[in-house]
Amino acid sequence: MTKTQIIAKTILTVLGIYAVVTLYQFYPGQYVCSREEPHILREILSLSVFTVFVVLVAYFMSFKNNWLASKITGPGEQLTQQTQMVWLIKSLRIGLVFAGLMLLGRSLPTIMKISKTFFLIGSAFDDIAIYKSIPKVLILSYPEWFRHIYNFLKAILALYLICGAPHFIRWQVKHSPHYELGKVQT
Amino acid sequence: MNKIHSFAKVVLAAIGIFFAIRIIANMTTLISLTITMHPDASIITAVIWFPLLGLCLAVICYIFLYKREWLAKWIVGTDAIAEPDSQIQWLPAAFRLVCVAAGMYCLYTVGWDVIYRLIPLIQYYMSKSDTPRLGYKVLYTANILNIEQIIGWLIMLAIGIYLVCGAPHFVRWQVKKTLKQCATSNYQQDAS
Repeated sequence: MTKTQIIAKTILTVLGIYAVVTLYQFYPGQYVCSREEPHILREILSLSVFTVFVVLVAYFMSFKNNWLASKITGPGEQLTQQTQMVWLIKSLRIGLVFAGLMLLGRSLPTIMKISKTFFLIGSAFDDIAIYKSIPKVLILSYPEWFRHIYNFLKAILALYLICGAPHFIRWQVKHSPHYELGKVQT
Repeated sequence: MNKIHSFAKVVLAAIGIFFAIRIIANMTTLISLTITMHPDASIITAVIWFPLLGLCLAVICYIFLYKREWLAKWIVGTDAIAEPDSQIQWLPAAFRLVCVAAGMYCLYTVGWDVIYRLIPLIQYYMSKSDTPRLGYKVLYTANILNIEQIIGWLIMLAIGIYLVCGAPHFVRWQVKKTLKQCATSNYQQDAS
């Protein structure tokens, strides 16, 4: 890989994450359900189809993006195995930390809501144990549930990215062309 | 000037252009909203808002386009060194730039959120007629400023200021972790 390919790979990875976050944010199903009564089977089916599409986007942009990066940048001076690995780790880490910090700005209200939830656990248990009823905090519509789960996963993703996403980077390094080539030769 | 400074200058210019575009877009929304609410005061609105918009843009352009050399020196250190060791010096500088950009984004988000929340309050107090005041109050000022919101702003403001200042502890931690990961990967590769 060349240096420009590694930079392109990093940008593609960050854009892939951004695409996943944005696509779920504007998932059309939640707007339909806010206007009419949700149909469980239809919602599961539409969400599954949408998820398959999002997974494909994420797969080709953030995971298997070597071919796309090489198409974008074209040929150049190839780096040695060692240099490529160092560049890849550093470049990906900078890009992912940046993505994480940007996501954190949008996830702060969610983190605060999660903290607030701890104070409501007591009253929720009271509702279940004493009144034998579902706690009020859990009585939400389908779009509200969708929004809460989405925000929760986004907050977790932001924190993971700020920590540098070590597992993801390790996976990327193991699947870089030089690394795989080295493994075949040994 | 070395490569780090050139890189920092490019990134700072990009940050400046990004925020200039965001400010134009958001201010235009704000101006059109104000004019829609008070069509009779559209000239006053224009007289107040357009110089403000111009001032914001001028400040951003001045800092990020004209004074970016000074800013780059402030972020990545002196440019007297001819060409520092790329493996070591590039990493903290890049992390610092990333932190400054994210900090600017945080501060901008807080600033815009505060303005967006305060506009209905200002509009409510500026309305002259007494008859629609009650309905207007319920419609526009319900749950605008609660303690949760204010705490959120303060936390975001603190994070933004810390990041704009270069987030030294965070950058140090990230650099340490990155170099450790590079060393581990090298070791694993040698072992395989």
